[in-house]
Amino acid sequence: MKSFVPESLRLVAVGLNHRTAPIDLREKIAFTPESAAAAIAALRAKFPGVEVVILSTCNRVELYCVRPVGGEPSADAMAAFLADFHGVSVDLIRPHLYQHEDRAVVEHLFAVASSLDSMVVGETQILFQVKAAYQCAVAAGSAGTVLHALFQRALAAARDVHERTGLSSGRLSVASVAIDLARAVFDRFDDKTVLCIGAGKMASLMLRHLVDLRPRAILVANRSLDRAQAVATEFRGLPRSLEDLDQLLIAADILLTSTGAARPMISKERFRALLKLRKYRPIVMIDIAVPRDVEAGVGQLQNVYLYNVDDLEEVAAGAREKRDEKVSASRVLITEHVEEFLKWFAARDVGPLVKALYDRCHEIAAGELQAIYARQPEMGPAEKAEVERLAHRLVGKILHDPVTQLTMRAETTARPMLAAAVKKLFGLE
Amino acid sequence: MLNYVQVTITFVIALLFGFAYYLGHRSMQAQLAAADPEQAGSPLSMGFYARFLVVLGTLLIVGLLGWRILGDARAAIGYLDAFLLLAFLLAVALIYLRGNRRLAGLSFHIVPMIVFVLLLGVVLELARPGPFPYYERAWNFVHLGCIIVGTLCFALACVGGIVYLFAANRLKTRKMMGPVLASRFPSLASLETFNRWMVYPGFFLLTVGIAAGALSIRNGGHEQPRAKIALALAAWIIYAVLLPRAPAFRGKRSAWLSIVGFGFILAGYVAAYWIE
Repeated sequence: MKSFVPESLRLVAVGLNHRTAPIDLREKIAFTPESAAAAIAALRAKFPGVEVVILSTCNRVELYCVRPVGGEPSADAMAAFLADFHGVSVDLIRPHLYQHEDRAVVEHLFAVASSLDSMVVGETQILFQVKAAYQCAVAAGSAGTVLHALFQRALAAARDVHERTGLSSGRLSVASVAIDLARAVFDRFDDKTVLCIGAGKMASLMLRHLVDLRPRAILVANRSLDRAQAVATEFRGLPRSLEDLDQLLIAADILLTSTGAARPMISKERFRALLKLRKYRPIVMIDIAVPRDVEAGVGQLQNVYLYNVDDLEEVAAGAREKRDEKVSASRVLITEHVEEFLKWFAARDVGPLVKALYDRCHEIAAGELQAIYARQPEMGPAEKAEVERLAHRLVGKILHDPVTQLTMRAETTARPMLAAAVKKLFGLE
Repeated sequence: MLNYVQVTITFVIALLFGFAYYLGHRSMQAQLAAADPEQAGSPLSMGFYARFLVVLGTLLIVGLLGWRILGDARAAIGYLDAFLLLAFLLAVALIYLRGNRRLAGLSFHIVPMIVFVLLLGVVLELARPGPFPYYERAWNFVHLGCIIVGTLCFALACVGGIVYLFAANRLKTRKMMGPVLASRFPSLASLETFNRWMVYPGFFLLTVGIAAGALSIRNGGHEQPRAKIALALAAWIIYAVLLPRAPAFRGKRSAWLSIVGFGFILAGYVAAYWIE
């Protein structure tokens, strides 16, 4: 006999972020869009049928999975996969990992998408990054019914939070922090050159703010000269080839890097050799790439002020404290969205079981009514209707509490146990 | 003759400036705690009481200088006069810089230098009271004028150098970033420019001062302690050698040069009493 109950599913998330892991470790297990697609394929090959989304940004790497209750992958298996895929020891990353299940996954993802878990609370870039991660999973065919709903609702919740709380307005962004740093070093910018290495979205966002300083020149260097040209045109800059990197570094006063390079392209030795040619001019380097584009040792050189994404935490943390009011309002909104999703999730999971339960009870009631009608042939239509209403009400009242328990607790670990009990007690198997 | 009342007043003025620095620091801390970190930093105010004490201290210095020079009806100056004059000029520089948009953040940090100069004046006066013995030589006035104003330049450069090193260290070590840093200190470039603007005229005045001092001695002035001459020449040689290498002496090196140079100048003052 076919089961009335759909397979009970569990949401699991494993990851690390800027609070739990240093940048050195994050860059070791970061995914590019290509490697994320490969990782999804590898994970699904290892655990067939699992739904998975990989979210990898400069501040976090997270795996979201939907698997059957009691099935694989477990959180430990996901951590092991993460380590294996990047060729690092699982013991190296385990102390920095966090893991969530069911409700906690939903709460975490909604907070992440709304930027409440971001280094810079209120930033909107994470929204695009969550969307990109979801689209990558969709393209890879690894987003099933649950992750479709989860990510779509997470994005909707984030948009709602930004619109209704104004969380993103007046935020202390990465770009504004970079500008403050530049202002702490330089007193004027009309004689300064901004060099932007990388032509991605983050680079464009940063440049959008930096052009307000009105620097003398903006140079955009990228592997793809076409892309560099596009960004340079947008900001009235000049496209440059990465082959001239040394010359560009000699000319630069402010450097922004946000490439997807796997290894640092500016080493300490390379930049040390340029110091004299630069006439020891100060330089502010903002490296927002993960993995980093600039070796940490470069920051030790004379008149070099190097900052990576982690260095912004101190400034952003100060801002977070001042944003408590908006953050509180955002959390209330997120809780509403989480509850809404969990209701859907519960209904989706136990809905067929509840329907089967009602059908079974009504079937029993209908059988008993037919028996009564057979014994009492003198019953008129009005009396029959009254008895049928009575039977219907009785079924409803008897099942109300069990069904409520089943749906209200559907997101907890009691769900499979309750579902199994209902199936057994009412003969639904 | 040692005038204990005047020395005591000088000491009290130094305490007054010290208290002004303490109040100003507390006021700035309070402003930073209440500031919105999302807003661009603007120079912090010293607060009313600190400003009041600075102005009061400056007026007291003027009064004391007037008392010492006009009250004693003498044209000569001694070490306490020289250091009171230096403290007064530093206070004027503080008030002037307070109104300068780029360097306003530096002005507050001149206060400890004023305290230091006043206390040094007290100590030196106690060690060797009275006016300099060779005031009658014209070259000597040129020498003293150039040395005092030159010392003012080097003192300001030294303050700029210390603030530069502190701000650069904070920036390098990420201990203080963003608007908070901008609120407390001028930009590194402004500090470096300020140092240059102080060191170049300071070096010129030191050169003229040393030359005038040499002429003064040659024309019958008193012999000077050799250590003082040696230290003054050492400061001059350091600047003469390093200033033409300006591009290599940027940033921290330039800041250290200002501090070390001022150290040699001060050592010259001290050497006149304790080394000889």
